[in-house]
Amino acid sequence: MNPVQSWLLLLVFVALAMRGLDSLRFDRRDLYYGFAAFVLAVLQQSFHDQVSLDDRWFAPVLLALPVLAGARGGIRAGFVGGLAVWLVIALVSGAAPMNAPGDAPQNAIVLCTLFGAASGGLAGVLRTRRPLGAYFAPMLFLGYFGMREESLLTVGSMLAVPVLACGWAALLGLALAEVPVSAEG
Amino acid sequence: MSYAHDAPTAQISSPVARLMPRLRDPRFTVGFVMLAAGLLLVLSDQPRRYHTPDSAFRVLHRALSSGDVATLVDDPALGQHADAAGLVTQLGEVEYLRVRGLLERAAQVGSGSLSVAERVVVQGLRYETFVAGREIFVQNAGRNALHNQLLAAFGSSRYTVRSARQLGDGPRDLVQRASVRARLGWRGVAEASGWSRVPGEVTLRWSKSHGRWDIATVRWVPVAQAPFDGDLPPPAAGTGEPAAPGAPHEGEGP
Repeated sequence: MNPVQSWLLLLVFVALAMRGLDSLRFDRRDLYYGFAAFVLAVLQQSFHDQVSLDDRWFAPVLLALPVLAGARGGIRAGFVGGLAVWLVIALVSGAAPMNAPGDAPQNAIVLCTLFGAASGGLAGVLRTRRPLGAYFAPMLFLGYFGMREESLLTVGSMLAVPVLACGWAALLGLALAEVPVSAEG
Repeated sequence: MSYAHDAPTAQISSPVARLMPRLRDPRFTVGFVMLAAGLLLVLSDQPRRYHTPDSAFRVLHRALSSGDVATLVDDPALGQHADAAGLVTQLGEVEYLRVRGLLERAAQVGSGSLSVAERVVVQGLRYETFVAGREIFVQNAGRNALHNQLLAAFGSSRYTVRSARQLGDGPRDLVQRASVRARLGWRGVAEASGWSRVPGEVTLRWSKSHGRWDIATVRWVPVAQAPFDGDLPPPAAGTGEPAAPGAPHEGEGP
């Protein structure tokens, strides 16, 4: 992550935060996503030896969790959920997934945390304007892949991870919804 | 007291009644379509060209034998880059090895010394390439199972390439026979810390992120004694002239 990318990310982060982050209080429900991420990260580490985004089974759900938080609870919930999810992943992993050559693991964790919180916040922003669009927020991680390793954007299995995350976010959002959209109308 | 026949019909059909609106929900459509699209992306990424590790190995071997790294990238024998990826994929039975990026980086650093170590991130694994000219080594420092597969391909499958011109003072017509026996645990980060220009058996050491050391052995034999085509036999004892232990290393690490 070069300085320009860092500043751009920070700008996006601050802009989103100023728009919808009214307070930094933690809601107990937001932390449920962190707990879910903990379970998933431990499972992924058990089955695949390391917590990684480059996995078609666990990684999409990990990416979907902050988006789910944002789509259900709004911008603040998305941010807090994203932060909680990725801090938990950092805790479990101990080293960042997908280290790029020459990069310190901390860079990947910081970048993932920013992208996770941003995707959750984006889902929260889209929640009221484009309810379905909120579930496409995991596609934000394509930017992460591009920053880490441009060639990853040409790998179908890597592109599949955020796409699958969109699907999981939508299905989990539907499963957790009390009243489906069609029933409301 | 309640009786079964008193139960209202709505209770009996309530699970279905609860499910149907959800199936009609646009989120279900979006989720289903995106999961299907993701699955298609995963499936479409499967290499299709090289079907057996042996044939893939021969193609890689010929390509490496006939040109430098830059040539290898565009070598018609390898076809498209995706096929090159499939090639190594089949070799190691590891999915989606990004050999293109690996080779491109190899071409960039090919003029450097042999101690150059590059890493390529594939499927959450790390592959280290040790490059000099048209000499490429791929090491997996990722998950143990896949790592062992790759080792089986490149180590016990008799990985043999013509030596590189960037060996500098070393003879050009050496064949490298790499018999890699490295026990790299998960999340290992490898860097070559030792190398040798002389024929014989040398030791590479990889430092790992968690502080342990691993050993790999690389054998060099003269070109005349190593077959290039067909099934490559395992390294025979006595081929080449083994270097004495402690042979001069290049880029000796910590």
